[in-house]
Amino acid sequence: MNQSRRGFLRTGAGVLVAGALPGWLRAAPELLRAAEAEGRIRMELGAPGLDFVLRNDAAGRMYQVETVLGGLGVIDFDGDGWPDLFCTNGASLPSLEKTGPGFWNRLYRNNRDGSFSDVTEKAGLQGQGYSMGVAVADYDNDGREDLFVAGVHGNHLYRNNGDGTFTDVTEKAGLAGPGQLGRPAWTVAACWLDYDNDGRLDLFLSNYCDWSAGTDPVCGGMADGSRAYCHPDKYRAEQMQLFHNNGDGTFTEVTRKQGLPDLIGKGMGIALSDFAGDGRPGLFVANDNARNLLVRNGSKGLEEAGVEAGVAYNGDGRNISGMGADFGDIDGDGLPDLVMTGLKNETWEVFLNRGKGQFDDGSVSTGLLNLSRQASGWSCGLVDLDNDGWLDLFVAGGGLEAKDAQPNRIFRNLGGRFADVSSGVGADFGRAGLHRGAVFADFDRDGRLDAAVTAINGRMELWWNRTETGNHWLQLRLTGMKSNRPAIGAVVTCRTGTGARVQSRTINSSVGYASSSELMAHFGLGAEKAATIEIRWPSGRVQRVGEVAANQRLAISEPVG
Amino acid sequence: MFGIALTGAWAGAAGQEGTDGQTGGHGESRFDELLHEGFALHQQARFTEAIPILEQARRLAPGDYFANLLLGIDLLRMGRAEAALPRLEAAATARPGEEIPEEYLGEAQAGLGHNGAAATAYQRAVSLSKGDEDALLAWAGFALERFRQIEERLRDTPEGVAVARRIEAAAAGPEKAGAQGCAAGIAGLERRLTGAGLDGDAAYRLATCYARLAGQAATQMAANAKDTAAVERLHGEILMRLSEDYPGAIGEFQKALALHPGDPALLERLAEAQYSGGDPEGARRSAEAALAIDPHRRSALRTEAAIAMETRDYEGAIPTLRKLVTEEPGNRKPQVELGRALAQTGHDADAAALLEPALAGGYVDEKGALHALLARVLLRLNRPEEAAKAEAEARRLSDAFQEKNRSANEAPK
Repeated sequence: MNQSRRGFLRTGAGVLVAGALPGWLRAAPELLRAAEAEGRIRMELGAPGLDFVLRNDAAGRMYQVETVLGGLGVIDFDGDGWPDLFCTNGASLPSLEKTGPGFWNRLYRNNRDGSFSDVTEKAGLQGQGYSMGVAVADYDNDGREDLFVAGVHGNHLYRNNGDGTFTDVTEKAGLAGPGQLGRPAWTVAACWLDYDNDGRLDLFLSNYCDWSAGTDPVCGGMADGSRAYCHPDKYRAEQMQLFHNNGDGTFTEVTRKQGLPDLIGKGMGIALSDFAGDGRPGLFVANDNARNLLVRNGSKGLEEAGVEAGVAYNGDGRNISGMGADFGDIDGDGLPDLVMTGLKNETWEVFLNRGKGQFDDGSVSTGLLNLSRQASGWSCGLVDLDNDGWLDLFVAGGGLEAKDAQPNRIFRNLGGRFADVSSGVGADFGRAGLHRGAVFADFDRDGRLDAAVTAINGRMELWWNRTETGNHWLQLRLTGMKSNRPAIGAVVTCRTGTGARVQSRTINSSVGYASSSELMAHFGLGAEKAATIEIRWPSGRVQRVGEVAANQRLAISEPVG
Repeated sequence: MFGIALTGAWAGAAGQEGTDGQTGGHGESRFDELLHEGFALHQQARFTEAIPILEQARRLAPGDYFANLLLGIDLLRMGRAEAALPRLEAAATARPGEEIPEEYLGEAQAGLGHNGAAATAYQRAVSLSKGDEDALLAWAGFALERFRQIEERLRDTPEGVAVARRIEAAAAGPEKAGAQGCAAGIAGLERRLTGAGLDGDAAYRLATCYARLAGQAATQMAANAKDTAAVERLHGEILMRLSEDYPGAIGEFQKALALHPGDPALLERLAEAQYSGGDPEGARRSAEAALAIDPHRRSALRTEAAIAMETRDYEGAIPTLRKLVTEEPGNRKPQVELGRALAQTGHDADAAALLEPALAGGYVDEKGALHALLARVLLRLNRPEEAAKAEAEARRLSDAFQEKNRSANEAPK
């Protein structure tokens, strides 16, 4: 049989035709916007003394835990008003033990001059086990910020003694052991919230999956060097957990009592906000290739409503590798929207809050869909980096393995639509790494939000915000009296321009991926030199602060009586 | 009997028609007309229109080789493998010495999951054709796909992982003697794999056999190829399916295209490799080029639709998905994708009309995502009770999937 004889069965013949409208041309308006946006936000790398290296002990065996560590937290542990940093670290594999100082968690004191000092040993925070995430808050209302460290098969609560040292109170607090799960949990992230509004912070844990080094399956090729990290579907999902703060230094697990035993997923980052606008903040838990969870704190108590709200799956009804998440008003309508990062070729998600607990896919309309296609994102934050009153998006970038190292990214918010301005941010900003955790704080107290980022097997990065705009700002740090002391869940509303522009923030430390940001509300005011502030405290009390001048950091206590 | 003088090759083939043609008298000219018409439509890839005409022709001459063959191919192109099977079998019976019906029988059997029968048919095609490049290519393509499927299935159990290790080692090693013997046993081994449990021995022998036979086919082609494009295409297939080396596959397909510019089959393969390799724009161009030549290339349509859906260009995806739904009426996937796209563009009633029957009919929704999408559509259609049911089902499916303890059954590192 020759070629031509068979040819009769083939259909058609012709010539190559020119393709349709090329994609780059369709994206032209975005490119133009990006060009216009560049040159605004500037970030500068480097903080002497901040020498933390996140170690995952990867040695080609491709243990699942190796890819998802790296949470860090902002903590003012010495109460001097300057944000310090705590970084979690990995451990030896498969033992899950911190076998040397290279695996220690680290606490760095902010020296107030752009440098940091390692005070880990003095603080007693070297830690145990394969650590993952951090949640910072004053859980015992003693005026000192404490640390909860999430990890693989072991979490730890460290109480701040107020003298530069911490005490591991996990056992005493009733937080040791598997709890109602019945087996050791792999906790990725944690979030402090006062779900029952009794003035004491409770603890929500985002657990990942049922895993042990001894049962981690082999994926990818069988030969050495050809293994791959397994897809999350290879593992059984884990239940989330909720612990009630008893007010005496102890906690009681109330996962079942609060009707949450069915909160199953491969939990990653947690975001908190009063997204329903009813004074009762709820939680969003990004899930890795599983249905995302939205825990609504309604009048009937806690309930999961991700499917009904439209955030359980992505815009066209699929799962992605949800990693980091954050709430913030992206489109300027006064309602907290939601952003969730994912891995390369998945595109990240924006869910726009339409009110009444309903969200719509905003990935296309905000431009993030195409901007994120080739990027893997982990921790993230909706933060106003240029103080123009619009929340920009900072994302820690990096693939799963060293061969897929990626830079961090900044997407400037141009009034509800993002432009990728990463390439114009600064000379070093394009450095690739396996970035994971990211936190946001005004480390040098200059009115501009800075970012600190961890990277697997790389030195951590502190990005000083050097944006020069002449825009004004306002920072508020709240202290609850009847409400929980860090005021987590309080909603701060900022009005400028005779009330024309309204911004609001829910006080929260849990941000992005397994990380904990500075507990304060930062507002960019643009050209406005004053703003009117209103605070709705978790206790229900509404405090009208009135007009305050821009460019200051205010400490506000909840009125008593 | 009849002559379709479109090509010399066709005329040569038609010259043998007297042995199996069954027409006579007035029916003969009508049969000729219908066959001509059906063939012309087939050549233009207008399969939907060709099928009823070829059916009419076949009714006039039920045992006719060409009527059965063309009808079988066109049914196959429309995703109707089950209906194609008897037609292709009739063609094979009419011309037991021809490899072409065997090759398409292989495709039809594979489409129906009858892998043993598919392997037998592909092997017969190679044997009858005495090493024709197209037959070798089709056989090797099938073998590679089966190798991948078997290896993937093995990853689900610890015993399977151990077998997969051995398979990879064997496949990476030098080709051993006895490939011919293993080829003879494929049908039996395939039967052993259809059981509920894992037959590790059968999986090992079958996968290594397929890998060796694909390699053997490639060697045979390289040695005797009149058309080096076919060799390059097979290399591309091997790189794409066995090694997931998409840049390598793209290179091979491009070399083949340099020899056969405008070959829609190569273009759609190139598009697939480009898409899998993370070049959606290149893939879009290649798929569009393939479709400009043959608007019915289903792989090209699938690539084009996948790109549009991935960018959530729902409006752009809908026309392509509609074509795919027409091309593959028995395939639910394009129907569901069309449902997704319609749900996002305000065509809720149309979306529900596609999603509801697909889900009711058991379309896989293991994590509940489609039920959640359907729930939102039903809510917008003011059908709250059904929406609530769909939401509950989404939750149930999601939780059931996540509760599966797969790791407990896996081999440890």
